Amino acid sequence: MALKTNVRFPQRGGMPEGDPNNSHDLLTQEELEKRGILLTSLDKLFRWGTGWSLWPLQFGLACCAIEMICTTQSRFDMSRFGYEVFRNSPRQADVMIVAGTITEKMRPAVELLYHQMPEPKWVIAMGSCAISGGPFVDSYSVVAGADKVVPVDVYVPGCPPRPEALIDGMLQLKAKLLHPERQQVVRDVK
Amino acid sequence: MLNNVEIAGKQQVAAEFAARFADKIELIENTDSEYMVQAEVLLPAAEYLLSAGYEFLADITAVDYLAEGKFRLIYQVGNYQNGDLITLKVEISREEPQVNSLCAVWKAANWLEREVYDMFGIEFAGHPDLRRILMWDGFEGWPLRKDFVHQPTKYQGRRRLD
Repeated sequence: MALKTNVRFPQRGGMPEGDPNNSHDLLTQEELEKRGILLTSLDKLFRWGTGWSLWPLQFGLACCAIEMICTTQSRFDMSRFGYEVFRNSPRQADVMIVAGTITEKMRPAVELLYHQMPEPKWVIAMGSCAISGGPFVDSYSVVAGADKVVPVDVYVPGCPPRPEALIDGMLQLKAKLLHPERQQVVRDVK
Repeated sequence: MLNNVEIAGKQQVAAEFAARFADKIELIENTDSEYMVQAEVLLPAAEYLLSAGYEFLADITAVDYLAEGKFRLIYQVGNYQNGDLITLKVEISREEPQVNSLCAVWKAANWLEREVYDMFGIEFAGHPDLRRILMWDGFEGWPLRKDFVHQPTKYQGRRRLD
């Protein structure tokens, strides 16, 4: 969408004129960008920066953690997108990847880790167990999904998901950061 | 590693068991190192095994025989010197699930017995710290007993797509 800005472009210096259809001689954002001027808000700029440098919390709960480790290694290489900085301390992380089954005994620890992370923070539920408890949901000791414990932003299906799927989940989280006006995106999985 | 111990092989253990615990310990058929042990001689048998060089308690587990009304405890003890593995099986009644703790013999028995207590509710007399180890505080019931019934929460027990 082309937003109207109230920046009046100077008419001197041989610069091209504005949109002839624009009776007020105001330039749209797109026209400004064509002229090499980027107009943005600090909030948007920060969200753009955060989206390219998400720092996940380094912890795994089950076999999905192995796929998460593969994702960081050279074959799949999450650092192409700037997500390779896995932090050992929740104080330095802003994405929690719930990689595996949450058991009832693990629930308080996951909750505590989430509360120890500074705002703003996001959660990715990786794999069937983190989405809804997975094959062990009817057991006496398994929590039926990460969203029963912490608010989840992105669900990555799979048992376990391929590393490409986790990268796609991180990119979906980036899209959510850059476009907060989007309500919900449901991907078709075939 | 123990010092000044006479390392006993499977044959010597069988001979010693036959001599000292004649009617209390019997060799299970078609095996050379598995013994059915009466509960009252479990402690002296374990002490003898340690003194014979069996210093590695590999595992303690249990089986619930609901129809026969008994638990069967299984102890696996290894010997680092000659690689022998001895299995002791103890049957106790389901109504009074209690057996002597082996913590005084092998330190490794501490957590293994806590796990068996956690899953089966078998009491170990003389255990220094008998409380749940896998399940959380406040959990009720013994999950690996055959008559354990789990009350599903509202997210459990859903119809499967298949």
